[in-house]
Amino acid sequence: MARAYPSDKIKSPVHLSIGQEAASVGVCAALEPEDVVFGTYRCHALYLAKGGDLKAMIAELYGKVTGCARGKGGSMHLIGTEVGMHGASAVVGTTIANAIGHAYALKYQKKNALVVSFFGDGATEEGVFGESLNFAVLKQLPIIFVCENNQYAIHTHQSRRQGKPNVCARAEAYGIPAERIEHGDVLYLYERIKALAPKVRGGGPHFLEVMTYRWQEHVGPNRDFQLGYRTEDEMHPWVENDQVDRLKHMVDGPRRAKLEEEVEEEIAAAFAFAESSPVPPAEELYADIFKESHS
Amino acid sequence: MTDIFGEDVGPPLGGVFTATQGLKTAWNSPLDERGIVGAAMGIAYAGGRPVCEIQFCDYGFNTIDLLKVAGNQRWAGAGHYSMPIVLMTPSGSGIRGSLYHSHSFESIASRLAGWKIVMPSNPLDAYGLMLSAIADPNPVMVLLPKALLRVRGDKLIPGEPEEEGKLKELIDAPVGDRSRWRPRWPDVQEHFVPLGVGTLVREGSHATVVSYGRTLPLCVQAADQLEKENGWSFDVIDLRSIFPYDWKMISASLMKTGRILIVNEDTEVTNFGEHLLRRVIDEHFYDLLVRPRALMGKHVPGIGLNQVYEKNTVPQLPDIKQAMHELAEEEA
Repeated sequence: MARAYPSDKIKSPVHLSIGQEAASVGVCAALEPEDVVFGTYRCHALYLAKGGDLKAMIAELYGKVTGCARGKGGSMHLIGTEVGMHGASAVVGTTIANAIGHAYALKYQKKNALVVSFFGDGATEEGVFGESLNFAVLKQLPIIFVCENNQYAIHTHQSRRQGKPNVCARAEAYGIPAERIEHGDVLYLYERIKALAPKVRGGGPHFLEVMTYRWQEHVGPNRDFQLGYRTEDEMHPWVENDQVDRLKHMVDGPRRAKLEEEVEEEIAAAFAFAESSPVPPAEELYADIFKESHS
Repeated sequence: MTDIFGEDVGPPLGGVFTATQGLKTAWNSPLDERGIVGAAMGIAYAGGRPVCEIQFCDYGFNTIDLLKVAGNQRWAGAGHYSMPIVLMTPSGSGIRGSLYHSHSFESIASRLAGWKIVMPSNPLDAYGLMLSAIADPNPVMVLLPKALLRVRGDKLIPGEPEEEGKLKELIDAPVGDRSRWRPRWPDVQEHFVPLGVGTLVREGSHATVVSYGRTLPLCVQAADQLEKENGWSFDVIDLRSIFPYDWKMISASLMKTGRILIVNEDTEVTNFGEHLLRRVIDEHFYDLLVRPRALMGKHVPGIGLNQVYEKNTVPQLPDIKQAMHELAEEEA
């Protein structure tokens, strides 16, 4: 995507997940299909990890009518209702409240599914964060909160925005067991979700702070170290500790080569699909505003 | 000196559109819209005159209760205190912003009694309205059309260098390391555009067009083209202030032309332009030569990403020109 962006065929601003894949992958790999996730505007990794269709995603970024939001939303608003991924606001934190509502419904419908609410460190500064944690504890909801802490809200470091930059302590203050996962360890995260899920399904929220790092700029395909708000040195350990690379080396050579080839093909096919898809026809403007009533 | 705060308005960026870049009193707030507006009000309660920013007006939906309170406190407090806050926020379409970066806000804002609301259509007015907003003892919302935020105006700010590109050279941070960069402010003079006063950008006799913000320069272009092509001349009013608005100017123009079109890009159901139409009908029904009109944004939930959606949702130059053509052409 970063490679294709300069062509201007991608019509959407993109908030890339590069560097932050582990949180989405480690969690979603441990979920069941009927489990539900709410995410943020940085949602490419989450959409794919939950099983979203790659073709529909790339077409969405191209603003095509075959996109998962019919070219209406773009990168920040990927929606995969068929795989249990709901759309996000651009205002951070908003979906945390949606996630507790969904979890509340699951509990009272006596479903066995759980909800995972993903948000960033910035979202923990919004009032809705505290409001939602309170309700989740009060009703003992089947929800896992995952704070993807990449340390920056756009260009401002957590320490310059939070008087006490300890997110887990705040979750605990509401009465939610909380733990911090250093280095975005994808396998450990997977194990933790596997272990926590049965307990959470029975009711009772859990909170995970997953430390991570955004490699690219806040929005756009490039690096942004020239802006001077963070240093390349700071990113270095995260690149060394890249979880994608780590998983890659756990797969033996021939199998890895085959996998890489298949993925490349899938990506090429998705871009080809997006390029050949039609733009939305004029009448699409009024499509799907209301559900028709048949009373 | 006045504090300017909001999400990312301070260094290194100086706001998404770099509108506050290099300003010494600009600082980055926590990522919390309600905190931003609420804190601005608190500073005002204590006698300050803060300028706060909501990064995109679309995020202002998260702050409605605070905006309501800011508008009603003086009234409910028996006039015992003022609320001199300025809320600046980029508004409207034009940057391919899709669902959450393309909304208009003026119609919603116009329903918040107690607020003054302005929307400039060029840099000089933006400067003049901002200074007036800061000087005003009431809450003032400055809606900045995103599509125009990086344009150079025909009229320069007093003291702005005349050479094109020079201002950029003086006050735009370099792309590279900017840790030691300091802006070199030109010696600009104060310039106040009074709140509530419109300006007649084109003077004509056939019909009146009222607009503001992004659509205003398009109305001017359309007027110039129609004058050349059809010989019709238009009064084009740049309203500049949504509230209070310059009814005197609209009324006087309408008495002259008997034809009026209101153009903006906010959604058309319960649009501020509809309020103007209601007054036109109430007060000028018998002065009208043809039915009054409004050209506004379509009533859809957001502006879709694809340009087809945006083009079909908010008025573009051809739409405006066609509406003006019909207005001038219709037989009285």
